Amino acid sequence: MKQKIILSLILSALLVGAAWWHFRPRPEVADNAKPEVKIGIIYPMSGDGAVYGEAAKAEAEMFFRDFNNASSCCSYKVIFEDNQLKPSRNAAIAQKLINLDKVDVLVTFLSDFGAVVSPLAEQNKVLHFSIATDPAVASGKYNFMASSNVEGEVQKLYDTLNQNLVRNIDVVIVNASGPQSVLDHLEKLAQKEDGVKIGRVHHVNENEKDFRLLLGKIKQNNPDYILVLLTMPAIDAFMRQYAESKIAIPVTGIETFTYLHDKTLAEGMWYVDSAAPTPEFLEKYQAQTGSRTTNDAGYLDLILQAVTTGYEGAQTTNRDKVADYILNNFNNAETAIGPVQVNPDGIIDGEPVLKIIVNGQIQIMGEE
Amino acid sequence: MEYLINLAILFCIYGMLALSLNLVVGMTGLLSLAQAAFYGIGAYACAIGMTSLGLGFFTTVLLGILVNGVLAFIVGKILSRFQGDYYAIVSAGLSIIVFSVLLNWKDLTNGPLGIFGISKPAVFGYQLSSNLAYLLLCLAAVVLSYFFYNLIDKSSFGRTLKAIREDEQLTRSLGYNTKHFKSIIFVISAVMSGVVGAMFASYIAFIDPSTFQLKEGIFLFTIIIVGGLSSARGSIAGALILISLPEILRFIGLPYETAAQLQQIIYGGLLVLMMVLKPQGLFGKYKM
Repeated sequence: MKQKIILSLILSALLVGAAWWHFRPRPEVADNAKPEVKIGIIYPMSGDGAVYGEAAKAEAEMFFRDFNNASSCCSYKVIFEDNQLKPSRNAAIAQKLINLDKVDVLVTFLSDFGAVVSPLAEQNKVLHFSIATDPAVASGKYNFMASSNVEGEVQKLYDTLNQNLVRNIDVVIVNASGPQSVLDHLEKLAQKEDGVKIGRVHHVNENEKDFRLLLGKIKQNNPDYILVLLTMPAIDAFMRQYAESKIAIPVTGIETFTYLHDKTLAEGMWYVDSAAPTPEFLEKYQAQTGSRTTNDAGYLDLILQAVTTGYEGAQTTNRDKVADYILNNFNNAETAIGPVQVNPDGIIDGEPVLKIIVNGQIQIMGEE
Repeated sequence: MEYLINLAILFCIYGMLALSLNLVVGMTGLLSLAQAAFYGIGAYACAIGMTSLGLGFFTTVLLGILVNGVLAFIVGKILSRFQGDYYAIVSAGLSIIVFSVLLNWKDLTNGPLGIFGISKPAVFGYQLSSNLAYLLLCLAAVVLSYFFYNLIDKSSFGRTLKAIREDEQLTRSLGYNTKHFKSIIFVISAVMSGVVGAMFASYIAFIDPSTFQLKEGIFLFTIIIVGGLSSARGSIAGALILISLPEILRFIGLPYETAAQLQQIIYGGLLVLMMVLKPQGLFGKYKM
């Protein structure tokens, strides 16, 4: 009996919730109001990845604080949904945003999540922007991807190592899709007869904090360089233990030192990057939100810029035309990560440059 | 409507997983945390079979059954030597090993990049491309799983499993080879999870190892505790509650700044409340 009462209560709550949602009061819209463009942003807002979600939310608020008044075309509304970093939830959340909230644009974070939403966006003709590294996420007319220029970054690193007559490197890599994509490209380049060769690849898990044994092994292998493909917080632990171990083998990376909290640990070291937010963006973000940002907040700014450029430029809410406008007109735009290019597949990325840490600050090499 | 269909598919998937886990945990009293591993193997068998080998969906399901069956038979033999907390620890170890293999065997699984482009199944030449058609397939599978569970529950085999749960030593003293029974139910449960894994891969069209971690096994455990141990109805009710509750919380109009965190707190609070009111779960036949 008690079971039935509890189950009835739960079912009643479900029905009341659904009914409330259906009949909830909606604000009156004036006839001359600008058409609304709804942007559904799916991010981890709670749990392990909440740090990214919080930075993204602050960024979106910052972006639209004054933009809506200035817009000549539309009124933009952002809806955040929490995916708790669970890919299985993403399809249902995307369907909620598409079918109930009727969003015009979806934004996802990481390839794993973008890949689930990408076919749904194409099927429902909703614009989808993903902060991802796997090009498959950008397939189709409505899918775009804001990413690091992985291919360009790897080529730049490979060329620079060759110029410095480096012959073999050991790689320390975290088991995640972004770094793996970098390694795949590098392995292809390293197959050439002359040039840099990859010695040992040391895989570590995302939560790894103790690298002392690994550093010992690297010391034994004695490569010319150590390529580190770690993200925060592992990179700080690695660089601290690297400094303590007094190994004389130099370290480099791709985007690596951007993630480093204490940049003095990489003093004088160079790396390749096409992704980091510009100092202007970082300054503005810190001034308006009072906190430091994550790298992807720069990408979210870029995406919101692409979306608003598309709508404002096309002067319509027709998503076909907006997608075309972005493809044709967003090239060379100045964004939060510097100037970007858009390729015909809808991949938006920046130009890879060599950076160096000087006095604990990131500087572009040659400009320091 | 599409949103509700997607939720219903997700509910079916977790309902079947809960039924398969309840065979081991509820009916037999073995604290298995290995379910996510078999779920993952089934999903990867489907993904690799369909994208790399060009096999049909149902052939890949058979492939998953074969792989899971063999692995579960070997692991089940080892696990059948353990009980209680030790069983939980060893089965959790299996889950971690399988996750590591999925993550690191890049030539086969594509590692952390995952596998894209897994298509929907075709039944008698009809491609189940719409979500509604796929939901019908899932509902049919849930109904079948439900009856299969009850079939075992009411059989002499099921009664022996329950006897093992209540007192393994006593059951053994009556001449039953309890290790043998524990192995068999472990294999059956693993095979069921593998089939569900294939359905999940085909539904979501993309899989990567992060979905099949130990925490997924713990989530399944929560479903059957909330729904009730050793109860088919409990498995279904538990899945319904744990899948729909976070979605309902999206609509209750919480303050924008803290909505996600508050949703988690309310979700946790409701689970605690339910456990206080019904410690044996909604339809549970016994407490752990």
